[in-house]
Amino acid sequence: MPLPERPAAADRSVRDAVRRRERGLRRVGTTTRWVAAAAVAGTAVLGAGYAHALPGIAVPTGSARHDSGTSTGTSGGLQPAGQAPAPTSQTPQTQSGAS
Amino acid sequence: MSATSADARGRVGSGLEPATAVFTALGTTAVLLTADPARADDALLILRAELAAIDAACSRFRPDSELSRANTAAGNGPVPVSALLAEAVEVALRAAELTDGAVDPTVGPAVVALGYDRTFAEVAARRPENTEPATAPRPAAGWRSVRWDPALRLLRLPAGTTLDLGATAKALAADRAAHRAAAAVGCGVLVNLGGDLSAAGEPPAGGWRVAIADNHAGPEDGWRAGTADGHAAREGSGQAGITDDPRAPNAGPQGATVGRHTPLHTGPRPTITDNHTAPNAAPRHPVVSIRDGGLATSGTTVRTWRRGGRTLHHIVDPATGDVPPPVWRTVSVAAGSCVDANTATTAALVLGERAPDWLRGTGLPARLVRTDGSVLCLGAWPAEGGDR
Repeated sequence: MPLPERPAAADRSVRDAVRRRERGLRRVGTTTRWVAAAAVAGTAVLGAGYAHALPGIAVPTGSARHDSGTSTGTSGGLQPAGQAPAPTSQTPQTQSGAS
Repeated sequence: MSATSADARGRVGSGLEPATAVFTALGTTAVLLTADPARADDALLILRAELAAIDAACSRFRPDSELSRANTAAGNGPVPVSALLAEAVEVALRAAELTDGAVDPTVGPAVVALGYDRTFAEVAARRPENTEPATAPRPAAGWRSVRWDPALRLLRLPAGTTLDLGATAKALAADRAAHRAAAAVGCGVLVNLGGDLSAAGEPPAGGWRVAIADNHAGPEDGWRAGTADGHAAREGSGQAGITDDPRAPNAGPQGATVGRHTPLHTGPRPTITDNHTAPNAAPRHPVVSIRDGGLATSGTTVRTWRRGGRTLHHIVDPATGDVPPPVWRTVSVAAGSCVDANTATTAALVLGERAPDWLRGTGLPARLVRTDGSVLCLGAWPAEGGDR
């Protein structure tokens, strides 16, 4: 005649099952959060990258890059000439005046 | 553009002297110096083409210009613009950024409110003065309100805002034309648009010689006659509203300038003579030589008109929408480009008493003439007889 299962052993088995289930739920939850965060980050990155392609969404000028390659230079402030004006006593060829 | 070029090739130099072409364009006088006279024709073609392109893109007086169409669309969706207008917009926004808004392209409504709502020749025709009541100054919306997409060249202006590229587009035209012409003809070229100069290529021996037109006369003499700089008006002097004629100062309320001209002007007479073209300026004007880059002079006494009992001019403080307090009569700056030089001169007039410190911060050579005629030279600008 088999001996009846001891109550303590049965409780341990149930607690182990509960722990395994909870551990699994935590893993699922963690994975879900990571996936959600990655989706948000990816959306932001892609959105920023393709914002220029959406008509009407322009960068405010305060933070825009002015890099059109003009002859005026693009950064570092107003640029000096290669050589400063030098005085001369010769007859002028042209004139700079207010306009 | 109102190019009337009859003697467009002007005095073609012989041998050592560069060829000179003088004609009217962009509402002012254009002068082209070409170091090799044999290449003057080609350089002139390039300059004319550049001026026509800038006018078609950036004029606020032409309803068919790209800029006018963009201004009309203010408050609506973004407007795609050409590469040229894109460059002009970026240059204007850069000028605003570098001057902390002292030179601001959104000053358009303010300029119009002051009465400069049509070409200056037409404004000048309202002599002796515009008797319409003065409009309250309109501070500029601010350049940061402009939404500009440089990648797609999309421009969007908020409602009620219009761009006025007058502070930078002419200088940009000078830079573009000088560099393109010099590269094409293989010699030094200097382009002078209404006193704003750009030089590119190998200059003639000794550099390009430029008279800095200004009147050193003190207030006790008024703005002296017989000079080539056209400073003919005094604030509140009751003189005629148009003040371009150097021979007209103190000539009385009707002694204005239509029909008059400076004897030094060699090209066809524009209705309003800005007097930047005198190749043989009066000897008392300082003369400097430059080899490259830009040299600009801005002033408050040439392009003036009267309205509401006040003498107004085209330099407007974006913060107030009004003309800045009279501190400097003219400011000249040399820089790496005409755009940078003109940006500095315009900002200096707006900044008033703060201008010397700001200009020192830029490190650019500058010459400032106060309303009393005293001269202040900054940086590497050559001193004048102890004025420094």
